[in-house]
Formats: sequence, structure tokens, C-alpha cells
Amino acid sequence: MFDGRFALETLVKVVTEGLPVSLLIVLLTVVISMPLAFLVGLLRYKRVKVVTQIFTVLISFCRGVPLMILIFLFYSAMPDVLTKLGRMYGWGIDFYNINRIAYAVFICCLFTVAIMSEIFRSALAAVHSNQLEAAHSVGLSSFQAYIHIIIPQALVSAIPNLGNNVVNLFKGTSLVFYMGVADIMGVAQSAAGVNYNYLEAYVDVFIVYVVVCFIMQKCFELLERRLNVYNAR
Amino acid sequence: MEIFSISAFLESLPVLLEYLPFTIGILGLSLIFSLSFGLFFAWCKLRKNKFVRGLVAFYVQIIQGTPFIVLLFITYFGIPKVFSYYFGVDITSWNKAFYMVLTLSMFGSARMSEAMRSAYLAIPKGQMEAAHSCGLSTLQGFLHIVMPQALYIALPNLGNLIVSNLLETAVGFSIGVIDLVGNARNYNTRTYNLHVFEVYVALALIYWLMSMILAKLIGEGEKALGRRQGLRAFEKKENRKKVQTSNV
Repeated sequence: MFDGRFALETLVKVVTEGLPVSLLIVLLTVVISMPLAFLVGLLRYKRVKVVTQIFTVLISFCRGVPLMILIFLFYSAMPDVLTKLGRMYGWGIDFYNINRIAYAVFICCLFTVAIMSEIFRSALAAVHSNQLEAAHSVGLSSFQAYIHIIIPQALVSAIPNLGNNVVNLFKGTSLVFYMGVADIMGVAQSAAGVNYNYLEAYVDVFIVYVVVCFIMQKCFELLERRLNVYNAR
Repeated sequence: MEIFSISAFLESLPVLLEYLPFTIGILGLSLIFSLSFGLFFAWCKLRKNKFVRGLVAFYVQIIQGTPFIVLLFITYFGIPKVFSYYFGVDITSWNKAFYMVLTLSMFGSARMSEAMRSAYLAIPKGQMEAAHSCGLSTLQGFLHIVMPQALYIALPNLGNLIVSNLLETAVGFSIGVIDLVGNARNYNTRTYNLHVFEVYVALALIYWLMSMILAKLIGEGEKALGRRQGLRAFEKKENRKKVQTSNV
């Protein structure tokens, strides 16, 4: 019933071929979306007009629509639309041949920026307003106060939520195989397709996800404990 | 050549909406199961028995570390195999929505148990002691005193999880369930993929609207619960902030 040998072989394949791709997508997404999300969070925290309203709608959209549908929307439909646009304005770029990982990272960024900006906004709001007043009273300008006092504290208090978010993002990347990316799921599926050993392949995927998520969680817990030093009030 | 054909968009809407009740049905069933099992798991986690506690904690950890789609595939490919191998029963003809409801319930119950447990722990012990001293039994005290307060604390978190259950229904098509998404893909095939963009925009709008309505309903429920409990519940705002971590 359960082909152990196939499962073992696929496990090795999944870990060596699929896992790096998934982790690369996560890494690229985090690196690209973290500064963007911080900017959006700061703008929303400061209630800059127009920008706040636009982002409120965008964020609500990205959080209220399943990642699967976002992938369909942007992957199945975007190349068509972009090609039509390109033909209209004569860009001459072949949108069907853009690297699939780039599309995956783009979509993951959309949804990560939406969630992370909320995290940063609430983290900024969690820093007590006394802190700014205290900084002013020792002669710092508002800008200096933000750089040296408020933002570091906000970042520390954002870490637990950020960790959660990164783990969720890693789990979310299990859907990018619908775009033809050979990530964990993609590798497992193509290996299983030969002899219809789908159950074994998915059990492998399951093991990989559980283990990696566990390690990620522990790492973030460690980081949190380290950073708690700065949180002494 | 137009980029977004409004007529195609409007044409696809009624076809897509035909399957809305089906998706809502799956969501409703899975919510009933995940709320009741979530409560049960939360109860298990608060037991003194270390074995039970460890077992449930392990289950929750495993479920939380797995993407929904992987869990869905494992139940979809695994359960029929187990049934035919050990019991000799062929269940491949069962409705595929069964796997969807089963997996959603597993997924939801694990995550909801965590929210319920922390909400229960946020209620001071004095509440139950006071209930006892008024002559209420433990069950009565739980139902009338502790649970309403705990529910009020848990609702924002539970609401997030309920919405995320809704969002997870979108991957049901991958095992061949014909729900909102599956139907939309069939419609695309029927129309020779001419209006993929319009159909997916419609689909995204339907999901967006649904999750907004759901969030609004939960918010209203929270307000109503707060009003019923009078001012004291509102004073507990600091407590609620501690518990709340948004995941969706």
C-alpha cells in the first residue's frame, strides 16, 4: 500500500531540488517586501491623506481574496493583459517568457506587503506616545526620535508577528506550483506522476513542511528572546 | 482589442454565482465541526493529564506547520487507499466535498482551539469562584459567567480564523470539487479561455465581498455581545489586546 522506497527517494529529491526553490522565493519575497511594507505601514500610521485610503482598499483586497485566486488572476491572466498592452504601446517584451519564479515572487510580495504593513502599523502604534515626548524633551528632533527611539522599539515588538507571517508565507508558497514553479510541491508531483504514487509524494511534502516550519518557529522564538533585552521597560 | 470586456464580466457573474451556495455550504459545515472540535481540543489542553495535553499539542503543531493544500491532498489520496486496503470498501465514488469538509474541519479545529484556550485563560479565576459562591454549579458557572466573557475575548481571533477558513475553500478545485472556483475554471474551458481575466476578476470580487461581509457580521456580533455584558466587558480591552494576534 505504501511504497517506502519510492517515498525515501522522493524525499531526497524534494529536499535537494524543491526546498531551495521554495526557500529562495520566501527569502526574495521577505527582502523585497519588508522595506515596502514598512513604508506603507508608516504612511498609514501617519494617516497621510489619499495614500492611506488607497492602501486601505488594496490591503483589504489582498487579505480578503485567497492566494489561489490572486495566483490565477496574475499568472493566468496577467501575461495576456500585459501582451495586449504591450502591443498597443509597442513595448516589444515577451511576457510569456518571463521567469516563473519572478511571477511567484511578485504575487507573494503583493500579499506579504499587505499583511506586513498592518503588522508594522500596529507595532508603531504600540510604542507609547510618551516615548516621542521624552525624546523631544531631551532635544531630539522628530526625525531623530523616530530613527533612534521609536522605530527600533516598534521593530522589536513586531518580531513575533513577523515570524508568524514568514511561516505563513512559506506555507503559502505551496501554491506556486500552479504556475509551473518546481518548488517542493512541484518536484513531488512530477515524481509522483510517473507511477501514480501520489500519497507517498504528498507525505514527503508534509514531512518537509512540518519540519521546516518547526525549525523556523524555533529560530524566531530564539530571536525574540534575544531581542527582548531591548524591550526592558 | 480591449483589455477588460465589461460585457463578458457581467455575463460570467450569474454563472459563477450559481455555485456560491455550495461553497457557503462547505464553509458552514466545516465551521460547525471545527468550532465544536476546537472547543473539545481546547478542553483537552486544559486537562491535568499530561498525555492528553501532549497529544493535542502535537496535533496542533503538526496541522499548523502544514499548508492546507498538502493536508487536503493527503486526505484525498490517503483515505480511499486506507479504506480499500484495510476494509475492502471502495469509497472513491463518494462526493469529493467530503474530503474538503473533513480537511477544513481538521485545519480549523486545530487553530481555533488555540484561540479558545487563550481566551479561557484570560478570564480571572475569581469569576468562577464568585459563581460557585452564588450557588451555581461548575457547568452553570461556565455557561453563564465564564463562556460569554471568554467568547467576547476570543471573537476577534476566531473571526480571523473563520475568514481564513473561507479563503482556504478556494483550493478545493485541486481535488476536483466543483465549487465556486472549479465552476469558474469549467466556465473558462467552455468559453475557450477567451475571458480568463474577466472571470477571475469576478471571482476575486466575490471572495472579497464574502470575506468583508463575514468580517462585518463577526464585528457586529462582538459589539452585541459587548453591549449585553455591559461596561465591564469593555474595560477588558487590555486583556483582549494581549490575546489578539492577527494571522489572516
